[in-house]
Amino acid sequence: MSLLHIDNLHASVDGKNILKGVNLSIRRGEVHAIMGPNGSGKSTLAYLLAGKPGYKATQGSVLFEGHDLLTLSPEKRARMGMFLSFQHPVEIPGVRLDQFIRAGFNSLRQHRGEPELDPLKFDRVIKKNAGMVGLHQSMTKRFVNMDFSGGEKKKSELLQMSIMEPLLSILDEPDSGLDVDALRDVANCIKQLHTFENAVLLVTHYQRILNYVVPDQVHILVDGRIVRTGNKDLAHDVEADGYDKYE
Amino acid sequence: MTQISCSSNDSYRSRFENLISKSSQGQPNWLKSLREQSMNRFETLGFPTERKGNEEWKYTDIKNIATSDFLVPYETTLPSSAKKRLRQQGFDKQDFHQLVFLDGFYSAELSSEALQIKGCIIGPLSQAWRSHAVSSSLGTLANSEDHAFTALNTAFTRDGAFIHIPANTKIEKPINIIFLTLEWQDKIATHPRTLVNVGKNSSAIIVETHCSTEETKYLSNAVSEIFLEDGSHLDHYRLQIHSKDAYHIGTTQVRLNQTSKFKSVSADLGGKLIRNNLNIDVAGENASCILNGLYITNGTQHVDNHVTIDHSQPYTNSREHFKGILGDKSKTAFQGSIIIRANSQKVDSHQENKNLLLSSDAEANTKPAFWIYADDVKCGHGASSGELDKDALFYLLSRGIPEKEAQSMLIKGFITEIIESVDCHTYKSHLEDLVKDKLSKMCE
Amino acid sequence: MTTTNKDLKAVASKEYKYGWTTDVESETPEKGLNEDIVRWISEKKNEPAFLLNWRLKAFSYWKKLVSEDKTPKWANVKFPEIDYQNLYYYSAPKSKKQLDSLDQVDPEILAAYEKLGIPLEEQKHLAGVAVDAIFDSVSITTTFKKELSKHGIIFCSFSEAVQDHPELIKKYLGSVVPYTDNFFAALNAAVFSDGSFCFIPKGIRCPLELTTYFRINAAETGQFERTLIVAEDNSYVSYLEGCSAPMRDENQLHAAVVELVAMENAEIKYSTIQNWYPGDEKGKGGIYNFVTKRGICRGNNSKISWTQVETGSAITWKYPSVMLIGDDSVGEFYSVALTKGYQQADTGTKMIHLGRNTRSKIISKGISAGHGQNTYRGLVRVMPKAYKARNFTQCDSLLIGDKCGAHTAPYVEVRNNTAQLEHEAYTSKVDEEAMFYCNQRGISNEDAQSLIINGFCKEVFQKLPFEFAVEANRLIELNLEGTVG
Repeated sequence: MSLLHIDNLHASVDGKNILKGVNLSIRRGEVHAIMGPNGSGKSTLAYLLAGKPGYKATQGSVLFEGHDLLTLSPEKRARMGMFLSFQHPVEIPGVRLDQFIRAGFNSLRQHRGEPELDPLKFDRVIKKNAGMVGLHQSMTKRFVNMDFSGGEKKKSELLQMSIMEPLLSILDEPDSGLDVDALRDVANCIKQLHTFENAVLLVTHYQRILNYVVPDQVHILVDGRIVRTGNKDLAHDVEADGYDKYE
Repeated sequence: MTQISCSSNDSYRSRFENLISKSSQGQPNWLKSLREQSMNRFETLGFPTERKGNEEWKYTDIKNIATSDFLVPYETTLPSSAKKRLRQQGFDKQDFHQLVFLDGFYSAELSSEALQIKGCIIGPLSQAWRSHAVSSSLGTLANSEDHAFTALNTAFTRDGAFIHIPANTKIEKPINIIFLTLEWQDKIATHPRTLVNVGKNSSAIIVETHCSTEETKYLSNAVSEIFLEDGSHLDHYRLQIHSKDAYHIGTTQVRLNQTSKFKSVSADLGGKLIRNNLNIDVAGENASCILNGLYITNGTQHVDNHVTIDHSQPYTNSREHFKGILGDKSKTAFQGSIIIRANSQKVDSHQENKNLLLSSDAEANTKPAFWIYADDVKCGHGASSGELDKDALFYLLSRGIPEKEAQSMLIKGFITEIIESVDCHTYKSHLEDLVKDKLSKMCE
Repeated sequence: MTTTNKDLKAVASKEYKYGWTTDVESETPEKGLNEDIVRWISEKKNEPAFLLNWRLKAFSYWKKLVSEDKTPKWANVKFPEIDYQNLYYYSAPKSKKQLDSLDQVDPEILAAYEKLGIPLEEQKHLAGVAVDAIFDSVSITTTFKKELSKHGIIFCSFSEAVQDHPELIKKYLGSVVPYTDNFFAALNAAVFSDGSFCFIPKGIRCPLELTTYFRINAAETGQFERTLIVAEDNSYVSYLEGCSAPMRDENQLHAAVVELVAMENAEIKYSTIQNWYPGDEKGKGGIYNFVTKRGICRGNNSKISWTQVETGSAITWKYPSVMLIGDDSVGEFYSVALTKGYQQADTGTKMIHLGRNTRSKIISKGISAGHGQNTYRGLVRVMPKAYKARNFTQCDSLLIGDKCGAHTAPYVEVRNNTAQLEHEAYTSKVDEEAMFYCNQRGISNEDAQSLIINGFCKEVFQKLPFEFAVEANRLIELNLEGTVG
């Protein structure tokens, strides 16, 4: 069974049709990449899967582990193991990053019927994982994403992902705004977090991150439809020729 | 608000009776009764001299206006000084469609000829009293009920500009309304009144200038009512360069209908005691306004800008930015209120007041306020006061710029963004010259 | 978060948790206010002549204001006119004699404080906090008195101070808030019943947090207490007051006065957690909290800092202020004010800069929910001699629901050109993007909202003594339970 199964998905934002019949199936252990030009609907797809208010499916279905995803609240989806790494992570003044992650993590554990982790134990977890994603531990005591650099924000997202241990990670442009070194760090981290048990859906504009995180399938999204699906070589073709020829 | 009625009320009444008997011939009945009502209202209200607990007049004392005896002129002449002054002003009939009022009376000789656009009226109010467009709207925006000066204006006004632009019309040439006060032996009071209606999807630029020929003492109590119909667009540039002994109370009342856009840029450079009331009803969805203002004061000048924006409809926005440069013992106030009514969701509003104090005796008062009754809004305000930025000054000095010049660059730079918001080139360069003059006097 | 929520549910329903009454016999003169009542109160408290005279002068001033109809009306709050002749002006639990120890306190009252979570028995008490408990109009007990007196610190009820240290009272009473200051200050000066007095001698850093807990119990009774804190040169004190009252259908008036005096190099930190009964969900009942609080930074380099968390009262009307007289002195104001139901708050501060290099900082966070109306009103005034004065003001408002209101009315008055002032204010609802971000991490709407609101208030909570920061956070959460749309 697919972990995620999208069938003929149409969606609109503010009354404007963005997705016009997307079909996609992802199984555990796979890495998929969605590429496309600006405005093709990549982020809309990511937000829609995560349940962002204002993003409406007008047709089609999405099943996550066999459950109808579209009727669920965003927090339910998260607790079921769906994680969205935001392209522009939100800043929350006054709320410490570690407290924020703990709140989410404990709600997840509660959902699974597991006891909450006390602050001390959690502190050890976050320390370990911060080290792994390459985020200085002092950053976790700062307010969520406040005054973080571009790279730090991406790493903050990965830190959250590493702790939530989702089944499906949707990474919305985890490579945007990063220099070469940071890109490699982020990519390595994604590889490290990917196992046979989970799946990754990587949304990107550029091919370069796919040199590090090698996808099983690459989909080209143009004007709300997947116009081409292929293996990693497709990404190179796009890099060489641009999106024009798919339009 | 309690307002003490002052002893000179009696003299206002007798002047009023005189005025009615001498000059109301030919005026329609509705106007006579409106004047009578307003006079009665003024007598009840009295001048707002009581300031304790009176937030509206907290920073401005108009005792000197209330206790002075101002003559009401019945007619005026056209002295050569008026022409000279207009020439000095640099306003050219070529560049503007000009309406000139001397002591509140229309001067056909100094004004431009009537515009030949069908349905479009740009002329004196006194020739349009019988027009339905005037009788149906005059006094409906400007509130005589609570505001003594507006009541006084309505009772006493002799003339002013009447601008009526029909639907789907773009007036290319900026309209320049000039209120010029001449030299008199006694102190006089003028009550110019302006009525503007911009029709659906029409647009215009209006410059309103208040000035005098000599450095005399007088009261100018102006009221403007401006209606913007759906989709219309008006730029309103107000320039106040009164005599250094003049009192000026200026009230501008604007209503914005759907998707209309209003921009106001005001400049207060002259006068002794200035109080401006700018009240905007943002009364149609998607309407927006930009209100900018600058004031440059020296000597013992007093300038009080009182701005109210009332958002009664959703999806409206407003931007308000007032900047002041204060020298000597001058005193300024900025009181900005923004009201967002219940259900006016998605309003986006920002107000800003910045003051630069050049003298240790100057006083700047700022009171930006928000009254918000809807929840899905974005509102912010900022205020700051202080002297010239020392770091910036040092930066300029380090580039070899002489101190005096560096200072004047920074001072001028402080208000550049306000001047730059003027979209009419001729007026902008005129304003720039006036600002430069005033600043050079202050920095001597 | 989930832990907190569970706690919350166990602790209380959405109702006001301190709304019970205590059954004690109390001593009360007849209703109404006249010179005899003022004399009666003064006599009851065995006051020296100077104090009686001062009360009488205040009373005649207040009478003058009433006769001239000068009750203040400028605040953005609405309430029916108060009938000052239909109130009791004094209520004291009856006790037979002077108390020597806690054992002699009416066990009902001890139990009442126990129930409020403020055990008065010293050994049980939070380490490091000394408490003065005010029940209706009089001080019940002050803990840790002996410990404090070792350092020369005086911390006692106002009445005791009048008896034991009349010279200090005479010197400082009304020196910051004269009875002519305003209507309610005049009323308070005439009829104030008790309060706390605190004196920190030169060079002493008060080793304990000082706390006064105010409790209104009796019905139809005005509470008028007076607090006076004097910090001599080079001293430091941190002081906190907490308040609660039973649920009663009629409105009750609380008109307190607080005066702070900071001498050279002294620092006073004054915190308030105000949780008076706010009235029921229809807006019936609740406390009118009309309070005058002011501090003077008299000495050079002194500092006064006000922190307030205002969640209770039907109407809150107060502006804790600082007069910055000493050169280099510092005034601070940190405030969280929450209005829900039909609560109204018109609160803020006044920072009056008189001395050179004086600095002030204002952080105000307003939260409006339900039909609550929340106004920040603040004045920053720089007088001509306040060279290089600095002020920074940030006042933000959060709106929850479309029936409430958030208002901001700052006054900035600058009469010295070397001063630098900055004011910023933002008003919005809880950020939807942030809510979704939280949701995406599995956090429910309710938890997300309280997380974000807690963050919004963080800068203020951080200024509270640690034990009370936790308390404040809970109070806000409790008050906003069930407000998520």
